[in-house]
Amino acid sequence: MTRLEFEEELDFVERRVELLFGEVEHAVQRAVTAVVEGDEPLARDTIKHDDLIDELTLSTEEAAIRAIALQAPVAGDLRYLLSVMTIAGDLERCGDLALRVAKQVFDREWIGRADHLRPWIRRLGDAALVTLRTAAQAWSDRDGDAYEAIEESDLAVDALYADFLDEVGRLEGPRTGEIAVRSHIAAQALERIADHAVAIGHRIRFYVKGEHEGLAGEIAP
Amino acid sequence: MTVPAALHVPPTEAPPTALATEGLGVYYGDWLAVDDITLQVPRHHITAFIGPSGCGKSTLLRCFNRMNDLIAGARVVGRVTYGDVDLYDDRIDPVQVRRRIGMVFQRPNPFPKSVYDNVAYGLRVHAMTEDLDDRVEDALRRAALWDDVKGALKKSALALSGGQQQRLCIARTIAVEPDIVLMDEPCSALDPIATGRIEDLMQELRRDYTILIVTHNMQQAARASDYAAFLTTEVDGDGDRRRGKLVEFAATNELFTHPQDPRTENYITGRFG
Repeated sequence: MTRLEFEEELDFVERRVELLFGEVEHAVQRAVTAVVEGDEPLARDTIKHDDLIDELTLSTEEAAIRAIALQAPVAGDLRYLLSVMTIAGDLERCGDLALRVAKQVFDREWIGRADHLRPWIRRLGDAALVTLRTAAQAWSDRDGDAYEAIEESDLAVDALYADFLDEVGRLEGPRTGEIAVRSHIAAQALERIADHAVAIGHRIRFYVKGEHEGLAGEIAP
Repeated sequence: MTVPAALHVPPTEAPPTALATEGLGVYYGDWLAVDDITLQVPRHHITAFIGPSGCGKSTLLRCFNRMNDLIAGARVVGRVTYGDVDLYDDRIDPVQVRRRIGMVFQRPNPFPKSVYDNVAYGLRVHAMTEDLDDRVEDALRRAALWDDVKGALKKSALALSGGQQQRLCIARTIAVEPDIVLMDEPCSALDPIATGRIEDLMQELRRDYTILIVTHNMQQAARASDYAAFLTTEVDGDGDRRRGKLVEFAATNELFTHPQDPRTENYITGRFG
């Protein structure tokens, strides 16, 4: 692979990663709306859309593997491709988590009885989207310091999630267990999406600044 | 452009220094070919010099055993120290320098003599003839060539393959018990298998010797060296002459994953020029 072909491959990878960020953000947005508004067709559409995210992830990884094998990249090129591999993985996982949120719509019992909990899903969804958008902006700006802002917005998600758990703890009445479990699946998925955004922020830091720190432990148990 | 001094210093916990240069420059006539090189070469490690053609890496290598003395018009300024010794002190005998700091060249250059006599040659020159057979065998073993040639010591060295000839030259160099081995593109005339054997051999030799290698092969520098120095060419003040400058010196792992200078990054990723 010549340098020129390599540059073309890098352009291809870059466009894929940008698409992935956009598609995942869109998926999270729609999954949250589907749950909050009880919109089954929207949920089905979101679930179907996950195939596209998977396909984008695979083709991004394949291009990165090809470039690594044929170009033996070093320095910034190497850090870029290694970062792409993990960021694509994080984004693909975010897509799966969005799917998990969307799937909760199909339990009508829960949706029908949890009017006061569904706004929490909206709030958590909006907060998780802030982390994801900050990460996408950091990628496009090549901002190696943005991980701090992403971590900060993740703290806001964690605080909301803690408040949500308190709210669930106060549930009373029939089918409390089912409502708690269903709402919690959606809320926790959104909290995890924010954690993945933090991981992406640290990968961008590694790519831009070569600092290989802060990756352990950011995915809360 | 002045290169920040910090870039020339290997990372913390650097091993003891085998060779050091301070403000080293080399003139060919009035042309300053290599300018203001300051670095410390760590002992018992492999240090690679990389950079584009004409950046002065071979010229720099030749400063370490005063091979530039043999080039008419060449003049060295600044200091090159080996331990406490200034290698360019008037009282220093270049022949003795070359025994302690040996050199292996780009193309295998065995003498048209037997395998045995090639290795014994330097030993005889330096009157190290006691236990000559043992010394020859030891050098050939260290150069990973003994098993190939033990039954053919009296045969002509020119009958060996290119890779074997280069290992013979390494045996010849280490027979006189040097401290440091300089290698000037030692694999450029060899195929990948012979290259791999030389690289394996370098890893073995590093236990006993300090190795400096000039290579055009960036992957070889990445694979085989512990430290790497990147040199580049800069256009002279009057615009028509180029001179070699040291841009960055670091642990190889650092240099190839996170170079500090954009010129290093551009060169090693292939964006140079």
